[in-house]
Amino acid sequence: MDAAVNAGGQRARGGINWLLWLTAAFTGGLGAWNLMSAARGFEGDLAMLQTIYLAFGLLVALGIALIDYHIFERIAYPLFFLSLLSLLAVLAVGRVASGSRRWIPLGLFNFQPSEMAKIAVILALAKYFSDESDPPAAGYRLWDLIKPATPFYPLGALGALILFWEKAPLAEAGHWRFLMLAACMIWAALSVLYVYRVGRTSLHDMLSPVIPIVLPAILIIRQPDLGTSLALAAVAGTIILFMKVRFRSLLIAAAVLVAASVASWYLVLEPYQKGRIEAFLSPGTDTMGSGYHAYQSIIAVGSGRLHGKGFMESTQTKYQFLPEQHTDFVFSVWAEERGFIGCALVLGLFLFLLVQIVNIASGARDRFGVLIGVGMAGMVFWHLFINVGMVIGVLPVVGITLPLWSYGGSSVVAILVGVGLLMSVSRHKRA
Amino acid sequence: MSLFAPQTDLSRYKARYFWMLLLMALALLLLAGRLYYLQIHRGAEYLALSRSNFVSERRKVALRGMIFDRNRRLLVDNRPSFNVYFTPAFCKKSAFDDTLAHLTEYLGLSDEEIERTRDYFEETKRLDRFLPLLVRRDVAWAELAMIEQQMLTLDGVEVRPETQRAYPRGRLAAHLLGYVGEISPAELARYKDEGYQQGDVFGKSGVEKGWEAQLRGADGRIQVVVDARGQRVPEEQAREVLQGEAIVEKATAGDNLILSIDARLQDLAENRFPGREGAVVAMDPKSGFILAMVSRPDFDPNLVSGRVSPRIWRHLIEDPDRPLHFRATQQHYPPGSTFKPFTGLAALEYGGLMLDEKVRCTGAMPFGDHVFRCWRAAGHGKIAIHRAIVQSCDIFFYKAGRKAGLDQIARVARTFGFGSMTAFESCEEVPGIIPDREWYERNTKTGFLPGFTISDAIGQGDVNVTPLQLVMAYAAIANGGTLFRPQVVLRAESPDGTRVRRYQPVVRHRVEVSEENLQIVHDGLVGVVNEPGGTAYWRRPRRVSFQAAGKTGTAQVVKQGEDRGKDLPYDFRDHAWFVGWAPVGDPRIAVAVVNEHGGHGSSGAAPLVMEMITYYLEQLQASPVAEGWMQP
Repeated sequence: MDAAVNAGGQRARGGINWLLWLTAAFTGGLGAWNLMSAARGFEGDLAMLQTIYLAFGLLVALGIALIDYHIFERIAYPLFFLSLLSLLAVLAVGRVASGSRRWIPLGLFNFQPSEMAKIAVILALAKYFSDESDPPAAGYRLWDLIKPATPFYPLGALGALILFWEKAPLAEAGHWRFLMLAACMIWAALSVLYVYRVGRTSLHDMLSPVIPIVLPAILIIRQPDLGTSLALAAVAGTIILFMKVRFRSLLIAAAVLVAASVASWYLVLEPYQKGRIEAFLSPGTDTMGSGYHAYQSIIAVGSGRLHGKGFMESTQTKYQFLPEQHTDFVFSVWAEERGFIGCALVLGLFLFLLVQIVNIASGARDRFGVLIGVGMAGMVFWHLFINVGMVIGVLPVVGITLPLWSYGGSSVVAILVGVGLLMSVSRHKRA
Repeated sequence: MSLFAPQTDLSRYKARYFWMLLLMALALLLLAGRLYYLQIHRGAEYLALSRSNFVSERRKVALRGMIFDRNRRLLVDNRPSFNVYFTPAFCKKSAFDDTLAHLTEYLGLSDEEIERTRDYFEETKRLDRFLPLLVRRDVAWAELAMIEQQMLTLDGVEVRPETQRAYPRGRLAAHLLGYVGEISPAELARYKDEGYQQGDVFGKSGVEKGWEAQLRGADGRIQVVVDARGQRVPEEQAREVLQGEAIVEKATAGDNLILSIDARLQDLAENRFPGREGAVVAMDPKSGFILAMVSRPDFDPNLVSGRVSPRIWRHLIEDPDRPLHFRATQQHYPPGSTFKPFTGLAALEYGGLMLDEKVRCTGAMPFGDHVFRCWRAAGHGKIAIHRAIVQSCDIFFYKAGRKAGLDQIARVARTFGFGSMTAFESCEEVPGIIPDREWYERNTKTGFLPGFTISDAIGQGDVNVTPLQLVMAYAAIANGGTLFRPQVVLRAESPDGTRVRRYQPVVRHRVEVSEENLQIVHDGLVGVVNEPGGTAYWRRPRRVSFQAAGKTGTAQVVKQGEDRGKDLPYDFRDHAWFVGWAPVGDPRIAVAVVNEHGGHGSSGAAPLVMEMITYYLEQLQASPVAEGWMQP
């Protein structure tokens, strides 16, 4: 095929990828079935609602599959901007549940913008790297990725400062807050001056792949929702790593990451979050306080043994020893009722899904399509890994969903929107 | 725009897909490995843990044994009571403050109780958090209704129907029966090996304490199914989970005790006790079994067993009359003239006193620079031992005491059980004091002086005895010289009646005096009641088929004062004593009464003894089981 037809002609070459769609449907169906047991004791039939979300999401996926995904390349940045606005809106008017402001009430249902933000970030990053004229074969340097001189940083920092202004750790900083505010303003002024002096810089040159990570992460942490912001960072990090980063830059980034986590311990984390991490670092010590979830979850998983206790027989659920079984801890119910065999089956199913996604990425026509695939693989993988890792006690308890399994319409639909994008990429694959 | 430019780098990505998939697959493998470890390798362990989450093994506290009198009248019982427990394991940290606030509201917890609950919640660790704390015993119906209604807001709170010790006859024999209470930390530390736990009921005094081991029974264990809040799940659901293993071990109720006391005699003694403070002990002189035991002032064991109001407790503890103090065994008194028979015996045995040897009583006896007086200022004239006992002549016994010597008086007193504990198994005792020369050398600045012998000879000075010791010693005189060990439990029976343990009389020893001398003293004591001029002659039971014997005593509280009239302030008045038995020759009951500040023994104590003896011999013995046997 010659290049002109490839690039210009938007003609689909493959059919609809029913295998991917069916795998997603099957996984989701299994999850809804599990919810019948996990969500007992809740008002309303959550399993039924989840099935409705699932059906709706699958239809949306089919619809997107029929669209040429290149349309999303054009609207990736506006979508990202919209997503930022919705995250701001959630902080302003969101509904609070169990201490977090995560949902925007939309009459019939509550919309959780942070779930859709993950898709928006994948699209924005894909768009950014797709716009790169010549990605360095030896990998990016930190400097290239961060582009410290762009005016977006001081503006972002200014916004973050305002967002966190009344938070206790910063408030304790006293007059340092005002110094930081002044520094941000001076920095912003200098950046604008730079743009003015250099002139004729394209938008792409001023953008940095760090921005689509940091801005939403700050807004989501503020809800607070540590799990989702971590997942977001992990997904974005997957895309950037896929685009290759120089080894030395990686080392430096790792060092900065460590320093940042230490700093966040004092500045960002809520006491309950610290408690959970402490409980994780010294397991079994605080089984009635911060470590309660992790401890009861491990008991649930372990007590399932090879075959499990059977459907609806989870005693941890039945006697309410494990809170939030229907969202973050669905997998523990599955593990208790289905045992190791059931767990292995589900992990295998997700692996099958991942293989298909990576396969679609590798067959994509262009870098944008590739990166949608890579981003979606990252999204499914990281949620799966962090969620299950938390349920079985190898990772600290952070609020993060199991894709297609945890109860929640926004999360299910967001994943299925991604599946739709993948199906579109698959339909327009390379010859 | 790159959209229209061919992207030539796509071919470079091939290896990256491979690595990406490989890393993801390895990560999932790691998860699978961990799952294998948890579910297969340690699965059984976690299954047990999950089971211990909801299957809670609880102690089924055994029913405490009941206590009856000799005719099976119920004295101590158990009644249903609702107790509120709190289990820290079933209350989350965030919910604790609310739970405690609600409990405080519904039960009106005191600051102390709030503090205790909070400490227990905050300081109990690990598995101990599954041990419930008894927050409040015996809650009222109104409180119970409120708690049951608000159960959902009370995390970890539970109401268990249990039992509460009840004393249906109130104050009757309160000191002897004793009372129960929550086991104290010290008792817990001492008896932990026997399976006691915090909050358990424990005998605090009297028979309840002395027979704790028999009354307690053996606790059983049952399993119940609870949810995360510690609430028991519905019975049918529980049965499905437990599959009929609910009772792990049956509880065995404690033994019922049948006491030798007669509630009717006890009742009479309490109702007719003439004074404010004092004690009564009645017993069977041929076996040592107690028939009645009174201490005044008394208390209601219902008020101090279980849920004790701090106000009532403080009242009982701070009362200068010490109502909880068991005067029959825990208080010693100067015996006054009731001690004279033992001085007489010492003179006969060791002082060479002869039966017909007369002493002249002029009403006073100068000794050194002091004059010792007889209670009868006019004197008794020339008098030998028999009439000296009958008329309680002080001068005679001053001289008899000197003849015998202090050490010999002490020797006789000791053989009759004075100066040491009687080994009564049911109550705590004091040994009393029987001074000898050595005792004075050790306990006085002056050392032994001959004047001490004279005071001690008539039961003043430093001689001190408990009412129980006195009645046991007189029983030995009455029965011909056998000193018994006092006992109050006749039988211990398992609740189903299959196992009965009967307690036999226990002889401590034969008193070491000759039979002739014992007879002399015995006859003197018969004369006290039956011969004209005897100090209790006017108190003798009349129109009865038996003869009584005994001795009055009037123990001075202040040292021999000139003026011993009735107008003295209460605290300076003499203690009235009487100790006696009946029928003479075939003694079936011996009674000692001490009426503190009751004046003369003949008026302040003898009437009650005679009334008890008459009632016991004429009415109770005539119709021993008239009211029928109450079945437990």
